[in-house]
Amino acid sequence: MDVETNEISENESSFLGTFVSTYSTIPLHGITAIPGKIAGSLLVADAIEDAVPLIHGPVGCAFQRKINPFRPYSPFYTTPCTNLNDVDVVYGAEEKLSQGIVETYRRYRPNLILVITTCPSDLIGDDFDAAIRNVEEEVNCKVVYSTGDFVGRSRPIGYQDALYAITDQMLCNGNREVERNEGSVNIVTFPIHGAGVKVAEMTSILGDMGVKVNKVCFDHTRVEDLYELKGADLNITDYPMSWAKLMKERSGVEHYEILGWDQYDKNKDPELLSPYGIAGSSRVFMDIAKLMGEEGMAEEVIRERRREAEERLSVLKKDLEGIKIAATGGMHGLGLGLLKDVGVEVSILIYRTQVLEHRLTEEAIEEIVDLNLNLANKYEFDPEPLVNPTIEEEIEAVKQSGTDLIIAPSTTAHLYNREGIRTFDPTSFMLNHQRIGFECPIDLCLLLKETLGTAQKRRPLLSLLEYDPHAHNMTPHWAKLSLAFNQLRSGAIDDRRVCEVRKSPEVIIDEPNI
Amino acid sequence: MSLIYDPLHDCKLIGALRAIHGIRDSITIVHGRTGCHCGALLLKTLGSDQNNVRVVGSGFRSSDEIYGAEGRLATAIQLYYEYFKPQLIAALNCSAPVIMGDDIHGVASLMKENIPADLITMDTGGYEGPAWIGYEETLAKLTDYMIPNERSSGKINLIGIKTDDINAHGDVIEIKRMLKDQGIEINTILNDANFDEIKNAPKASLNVVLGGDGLACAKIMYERFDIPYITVPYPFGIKKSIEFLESVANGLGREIDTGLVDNEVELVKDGIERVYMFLQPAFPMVDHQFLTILK
Repeated sequence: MDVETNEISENESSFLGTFVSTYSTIPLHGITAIPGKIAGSLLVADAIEDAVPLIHGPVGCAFQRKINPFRPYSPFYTTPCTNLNDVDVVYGAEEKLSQGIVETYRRYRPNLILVITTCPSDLIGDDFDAAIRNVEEEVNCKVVYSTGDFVGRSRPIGYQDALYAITDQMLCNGNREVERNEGSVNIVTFPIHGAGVKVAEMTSILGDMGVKVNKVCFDHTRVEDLYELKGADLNITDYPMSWAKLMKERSGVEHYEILGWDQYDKNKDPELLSPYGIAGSSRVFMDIAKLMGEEGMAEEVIRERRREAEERLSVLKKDLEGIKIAATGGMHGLGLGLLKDVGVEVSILIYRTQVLEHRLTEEAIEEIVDLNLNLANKYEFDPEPLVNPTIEEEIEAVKQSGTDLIIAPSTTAHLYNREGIRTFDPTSFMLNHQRIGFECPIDLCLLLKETLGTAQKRRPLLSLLEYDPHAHNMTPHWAKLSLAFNQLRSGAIDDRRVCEVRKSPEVIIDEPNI
Repeated sequence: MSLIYDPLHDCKLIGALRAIHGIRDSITIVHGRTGCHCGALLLKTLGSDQNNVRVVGSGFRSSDEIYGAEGRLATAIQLYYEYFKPQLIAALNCSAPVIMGDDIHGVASLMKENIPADLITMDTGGYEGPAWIGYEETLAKLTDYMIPNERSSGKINLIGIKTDDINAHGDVIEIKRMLKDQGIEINTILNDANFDEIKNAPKASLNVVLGGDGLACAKIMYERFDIPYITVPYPFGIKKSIEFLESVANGLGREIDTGLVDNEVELVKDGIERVYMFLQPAFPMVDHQFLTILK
């Protein structure tokens, strides 16, 4: 779909925002569980308007996955399946898959059927490719299959794998030529972020730079839009995507990642992982311009857009002068670059490494801590670093330093609110406002001012509950679920012995205890 | 019948989980790929008491599909016992390890010496059947842990409750009240009880199977412990509530106190009188369930 603005009324938007925020508090992703590949693949099928998934597996793999772990407020309503039973597991289910493809086509008339395989169909060794080829001529649509095995360790696997499968089996298989759209880019974002609205400014700036936007995905995207992706010169993605690398190999379309993990690995410049805000966005736009050969015009456009934003900010941020903020470090905190833009002082930098300890080496955790401190230094902040503090230590530090506000998600905000400390929800900001462009810091500035001007909450109901002293966002029960999950997971992923983890029983992981 | 359909029911794993999760001092280990565990956890988180979700995974990874994951399950059993000290640990074998041939029953028998909790293991591969089969098999399996006991007259077991059903908690409170008014006490609710209460289920004089869920369990208890059973409708609405009370009382060889029932109907009438004008236009929709809500 070409760029367009979503037409959502303010009331709907507010309602949706509350819904999204509510469900985003469920501690699933890597905290107490990991969604499987089916959920990720369904996310792709769901994001393509005229595609239908076909789950090649038992009913549970289809019914259970109707609950979308990435967006529990928005289920996957259409999940046809081949209903594998025990006979199929013994004798194979290729015929059932072929028949299923035909029936799915007849019932839904899609332009694409995305076959998603499951544990049983993977293990029994069905030849998916052959089953699809058998009925190719009976259906007037493309059929692609995703097993989760195409993309190695790229995460999230189901999401990456489905996109890779579409690129491999449909877009870049040499069967269809697409007219080139010279000097254009595709902007492809994760389909949970409301792509159309979020890239509007980016599209406008790129347009002024002389860079056309060929397609924005996923925003009312249809199969035909996907075909046209390879007409562009460049794919812009949030983070490294296997499908984009494949499209470069097969069709020569370059790719660029907004979060520059690969570049960061080479020169360890922390700003590469901080793409939001004025400096970050300028860098991203210049990077794109260089790849598109439009540096000359881009410099002028960026300078002008930047000047406009900075002018507006200089007025707006006057009220934030001298405001001290406690920020959260790590990879998902509110970007320090954005805080620099709005003129606040970062007085405290809080790190939570407990969950990471189960998955990353000490060196990797140290690197994350250093990365944030280096970035703070670069922006001339001088924060007090607090690593895994208790809530009491945090509050003490906030009071001693005269900090005005803590960046804290809604899961922990009440712990500070009851002490009379204001909070700002980074999750809500990330979901609804964080984007590449120069208007994002203006949004942040306005939101911070609004927060600071709101009456303080002193007796939030949530503060009646008991919380884990270390994992503040969870009750002791969920903290145990999380700790145990991560302890097991560390054994499952890294094959290393782990014992004597904080508060955890001394159970040796990954050694059969029998 | 069409081969392909958009299913409206879940698989055996979820049926078994729903049955086990009703045992308040239990932990359910989903022995399978991450998606099965995540889906089950999300389901319970969205539909149950959020501070009492007891669904965990075994740390199963893709390479285990080649080498087996029995060791991981053993570790998980030990770890979760240490964390939660449950009375019952249920390991539910999902599609992948069932096809691989993981011997989870063997793991459990070897772990018994180390773990001072009862262990239940079940094959619950998604392709083995729908959710209701998982629920039935689990309740039937629980009879293995029941202790033959002296009967208490006038006490019943209520079979077929699922704690994550909509309004299940409220329904149980109301059913208890209705029965108590008639002088009938509940011995054990399967499954909304501690594991000790489940073990002591044979103390009841009658098994009352709600809506037919858990019938296999009632039949086994009849054969093994000589406890008779009746199947009753859910007591939703006036008519079904009376039918429920009459069936239970008859099963115990009693009559119901009709005076008490008349009082209940009178209360419903009072409720309707307060809002009857609003109900008149909605007459076709006002069925017995709606009247129950008014109470």
